[in-house]
Amino acid sequence: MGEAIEVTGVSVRYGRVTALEDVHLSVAEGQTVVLLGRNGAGKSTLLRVMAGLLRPQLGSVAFGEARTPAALRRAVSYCPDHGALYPCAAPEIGRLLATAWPGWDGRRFAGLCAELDVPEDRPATALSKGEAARLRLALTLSRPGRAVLLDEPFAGIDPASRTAVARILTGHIADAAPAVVVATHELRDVEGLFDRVLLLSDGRLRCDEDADALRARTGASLDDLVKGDVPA
Amino acid sequence: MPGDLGLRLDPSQPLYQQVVQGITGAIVRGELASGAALPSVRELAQGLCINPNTVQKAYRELERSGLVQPRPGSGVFVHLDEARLGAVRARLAEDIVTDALRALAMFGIEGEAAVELFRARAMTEGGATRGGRGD
Repeated sequence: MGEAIEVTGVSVRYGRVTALEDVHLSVAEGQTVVLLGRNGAGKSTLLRVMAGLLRPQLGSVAFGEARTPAALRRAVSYCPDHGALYPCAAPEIGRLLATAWPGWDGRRFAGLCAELDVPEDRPATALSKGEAARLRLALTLSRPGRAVLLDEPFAGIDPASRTAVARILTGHIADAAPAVVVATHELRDVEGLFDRVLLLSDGRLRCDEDADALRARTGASLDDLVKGDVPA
Repeated sequence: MPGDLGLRLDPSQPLYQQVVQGITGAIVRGELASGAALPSVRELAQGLCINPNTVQKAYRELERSGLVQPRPGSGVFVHLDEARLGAVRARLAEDIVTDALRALAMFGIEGEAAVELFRARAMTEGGATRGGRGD
């Protein structure tokens, strides 16, 4: 087992709103964690802090030698749930990043785009929501990061593509055993991917439990727990 | 045998135990014969859409109970030792009977009444199912 992403006493405030409050957690390489919580619970903020894109007012994040936001951005592959994509088609983006990102794997990117059915003939800015989400995932998994953070990778994606995304993630985990954190509301058919469950509520970490232990304790699927059918 | 070994997982129960039980069942029923290769960890994880760690953990458990054996560099293989197979069969049969008895007890059918039901059923069912699994 290699390094772990260590989050220590992280608090984030946006003006007078508390987004995260004293969050402590550790995700080791080889672990696949699902980050659950309602809208506004702090999931995206936590991922952005772990990715080095947001500096917390209190606390710190470290991943091996990476202890500053700039170092985290290099060490961690982060996939946002929205945001600007380049105004050119996927193959062109691949060529651009080959010169910009150290360790960029162009062959892997081309393979992932084919497997995820990302259109090659249209600029990324002209893709549908689901196509853009698949392109973001291909970009994220073509970087050499030992940690992968995905924000809502299944949102806006049709069921067949969800299965393709899950299959690709499973293969990536089997091959590279990175530390993986996925924020999502959509667990149907894909909850088996996760071996550990984190629940955020009002910026606080309320639950951190092994996924199978949670199933044994509640007799419910993670999907049922998220839908609120069963009290955790 | 497909990449998911034909297993159907219930997401409301621990997945790791279901993988162990599913593969054990396939071995005991003879669907996975001695010497048969299990899918690679990657293949079964992708086939079932579960974490590779879960498959790894299940394979280690099957190895501990002596039903499979890893061969370095070539995979994990069903390893059938008749004595061990008999023991596993006996344990599974006990589980089935225990479950049935518990279910009957919820209807208030216990002890000699339960035994009598089993005996009567075995007489009528025995000839129909003996020597075959039906499918």
